[in-house]
Amino acid sequence: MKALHTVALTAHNITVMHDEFKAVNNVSLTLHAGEWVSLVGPNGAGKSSLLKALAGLAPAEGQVSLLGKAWAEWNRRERAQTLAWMGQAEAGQDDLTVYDVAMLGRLPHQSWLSTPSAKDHAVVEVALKTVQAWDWRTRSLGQLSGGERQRVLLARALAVQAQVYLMDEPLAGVDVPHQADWLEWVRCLTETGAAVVSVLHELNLALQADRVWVMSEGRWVHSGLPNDQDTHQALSAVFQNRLQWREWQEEGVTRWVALPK
Amino acid sequence: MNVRKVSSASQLAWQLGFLLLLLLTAGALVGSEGWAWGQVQADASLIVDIRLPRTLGACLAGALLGLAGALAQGLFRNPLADPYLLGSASGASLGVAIGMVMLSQLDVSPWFVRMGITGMAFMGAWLAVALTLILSWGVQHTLRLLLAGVVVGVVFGAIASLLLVMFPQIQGSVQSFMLGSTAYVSWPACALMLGVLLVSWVVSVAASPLLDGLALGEFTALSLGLPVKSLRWVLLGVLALCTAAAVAQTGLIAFVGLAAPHLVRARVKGVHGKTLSLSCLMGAVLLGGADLLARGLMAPLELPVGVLTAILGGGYMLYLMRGMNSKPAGGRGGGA
Repeated sequence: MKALHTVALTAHNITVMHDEFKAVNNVSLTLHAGEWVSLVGPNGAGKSSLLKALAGLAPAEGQVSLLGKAWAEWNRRERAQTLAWMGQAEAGQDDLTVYDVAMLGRLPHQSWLSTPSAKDHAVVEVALKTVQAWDWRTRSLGQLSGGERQRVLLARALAVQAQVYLMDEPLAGVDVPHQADWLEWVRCLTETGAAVVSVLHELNLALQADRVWVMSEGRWVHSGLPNDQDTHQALSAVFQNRLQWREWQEEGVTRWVALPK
Repeated sequence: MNVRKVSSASQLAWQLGFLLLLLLTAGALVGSEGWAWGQVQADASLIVDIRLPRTLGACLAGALLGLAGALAQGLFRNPLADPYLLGSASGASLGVAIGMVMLSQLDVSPWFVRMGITGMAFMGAWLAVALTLILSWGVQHTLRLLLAGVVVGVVFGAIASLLLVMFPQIQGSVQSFMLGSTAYVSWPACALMLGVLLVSWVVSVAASPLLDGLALGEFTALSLGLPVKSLRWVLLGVLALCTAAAVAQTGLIAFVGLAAPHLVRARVKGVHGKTLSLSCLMGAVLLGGADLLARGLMAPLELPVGVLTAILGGGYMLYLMRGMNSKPAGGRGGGA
């Protein structure tokens, strides 16, 4: 287990309203640097709303601090360099090329009206090679499958070179080999000190994280280690006790798998 | 990789530039007798005072509509968005009708009449845009915006029709405006459109990263640190300005704004900074070409260029819709 000292992001009493409905109800949390956290819960638990609130993308009550600095004290560009967002697929135009999309990740690092620098091009190349999209960088988004598209959007997020990554269902439509790759990329990111929060519906992938946050009906239910029995109980409870847990060993380490029942 | 992208964009730019030069030359030579290419003895003043400004005016109006179309499609993330989407064309028409009613009561110089009508078209277009935005509570909800644009367009069109019934003396002039024509574009009108085009192009290209960010969704654009709200208003203002400038000088010309960005994107994929500029050129070529056809097809009778673009553009629209229906939902496959 990595030593976690620096606080990357904190949130106090976050409440998100969707008209009269409380999508997120008074949630407080702390995310450490070098930590990967999986945000887990049933449909409609408020996971995406919370993630948007943490990223400053949706109106919310409460306070969010990034690297110890209150949200309002950040200027827009510095914040965009520090926190990278990868949202669920939104409908949009498909005419940008894969390379152009990845280069958008460098936008926070470029001054207005400037052209991409040699460093920007180098970072984009690394990001696209990381997600194995470099060979089809001239294709437009419209020519990609759902999984390929997700990988390109991930490359765009990686190109930001941020310290905090918030990812909402980054593996939707991604095939198994690239899911395994994604786990590697996330571990590499956290090794460099970056913090990652991901919303994942595939519970066994989510359990690979350093920590698991559990939400249900907009409320904070539990925060714990993935192998902790309390975490398993919390997960079973929010999923209507329809999980069965299986233990297995990997290189001397005990791991758990959740199966539907 | 970049080399290939840039070369296809610059290749299209050169091709369109060459076509534009050809059109301007042909436009200076084609007169009311039709395709009289050998008409070298044409009066120089006829070429300088009438043919050149109308040809250049058609190209400038086309460029304005092409730019407005590319902006509309990028801003609303809707490939079928059109500069007339916000009701600005109907607003401009109503402004023209009101201007004609008011000015027909006064004994003023033709120059004053032209400027007055142009000003009224601007005001009408802006009023329509403002009303559309008020009705749709901003620009966040595309569907609400589209519906508000349709409502404003229909209501303004109905008021313009009512004016025609009440003041039959303006019927001929307004009808000519509604059909769209470049026949009366003068050098001052060209100067006005050129000025608006230059300002609009510079602002649009400078603000184009917003459109690139929006292509991935509003949240992504926000997360990239883009000032989404303010840039969106700026680009909406540019869109309305381009449409109003073109409509005020040439009347209602349909489909150029829709078709120009599509034709560009069929050849060049890439960031909006590139496609906005190419859409200007494509719009100029489309309307310049349509103007030449309108003059030459049934010479000495001249077709209203708006009618021609509506017929050709309508066909293109059907072709687009057919392509959309045959496209499978979701991605188009193709492994790495």
